[in-house]
Amino acid sequence: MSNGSVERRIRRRSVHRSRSTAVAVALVVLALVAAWIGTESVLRAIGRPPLLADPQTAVDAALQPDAAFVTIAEVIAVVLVVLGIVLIVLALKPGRQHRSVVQHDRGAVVIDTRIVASTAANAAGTAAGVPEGNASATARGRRTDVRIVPVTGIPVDEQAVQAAVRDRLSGLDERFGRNIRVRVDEKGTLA
Amino acid sequence: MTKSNRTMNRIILFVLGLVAVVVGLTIGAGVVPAVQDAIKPTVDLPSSLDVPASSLWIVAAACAVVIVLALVWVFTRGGGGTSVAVRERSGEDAVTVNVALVRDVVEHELAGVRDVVGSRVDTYLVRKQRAARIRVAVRRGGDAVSVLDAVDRAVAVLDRTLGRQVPVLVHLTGGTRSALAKSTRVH
Repeated sequence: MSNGSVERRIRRRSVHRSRSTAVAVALVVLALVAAWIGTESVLRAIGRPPLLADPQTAVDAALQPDAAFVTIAEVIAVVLVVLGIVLIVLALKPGRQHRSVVQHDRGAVVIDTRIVASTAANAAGTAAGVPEGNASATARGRRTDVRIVPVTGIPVDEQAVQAAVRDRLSGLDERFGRNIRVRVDEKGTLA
Repeated sequence: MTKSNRTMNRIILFVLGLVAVVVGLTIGAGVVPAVQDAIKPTVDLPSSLDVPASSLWIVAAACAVVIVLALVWVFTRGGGGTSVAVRERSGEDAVTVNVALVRDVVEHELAGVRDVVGSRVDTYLVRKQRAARIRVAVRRGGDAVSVLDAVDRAVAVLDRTLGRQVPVLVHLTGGTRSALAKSTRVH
């Protein structure tokens, strides 16, 4: 049974964002524009008055606009260029979501970065003996920053906190535990 | 998880983006002298173009084709989701296990686990194999390690129940439900 390849595939597809929505929107817009051009062409071909402008007028206006259309042409040009750049960026960027892949024996596992951070904060808070709200963490890639606001009068052992966080995160994936920074605020709060 | 062809999606986006930029620059060249000067050495844009009457029908037909292709692509996107988690065939007979069973097993196993707010299970056909996606919402400030252990146990029970190991994706997530849930307290 090739569970492995299927799991790798669904894990990869879960970490990277799908462009389905962007493609759908772009294609619907394209269809609308194509519908307009098609309608104008047909109307011109059978000799009926155009909806907005017949093809020849439109092409003329696009290539060499007269005074009345300069502003419109400018706006359309800018919008098209910006839109095009956005689409190209969307197409080329990796589109990673804020999730991390975790090596696991059974099944493919992905964890939201926020959950990794919350786990680190949880471990740090327990190790430092501060209330939940006093320990916070941010995770980015493999790096985790922990910030602790100590309770006044009770010193916090940075090394112990770092070890605790490393232990906890290693339970998820040992790669998470490698780069941990602990910062203890100088000002404490009342318990 | 769905069947959408992601490479093709990227290519479509790229081509559309390129077309939009080129058309935008062409129009811009007619209005903004700076743009015109910039692209003059590379391409010589015609300042006027005749649209002959004979090409009108060709343009219309091309537009129709573009519309049909675009709409077909839009409406066939997604897919691959299924409600059957396992299908076992033996001769004429087939046994199917509905996703509801998987859902019940996972929910039952995760009920009462600390830091789990809820779970959602859906199954997909991935490369002709049925795979389950288990999304577990973790409480704000919760501990992912203990949740993952619990999910492991749930998956083990699931394997025993189904009698086989289906491919699974476990996704520990925050999400709105966990944002609204009470945060944990240190005792």
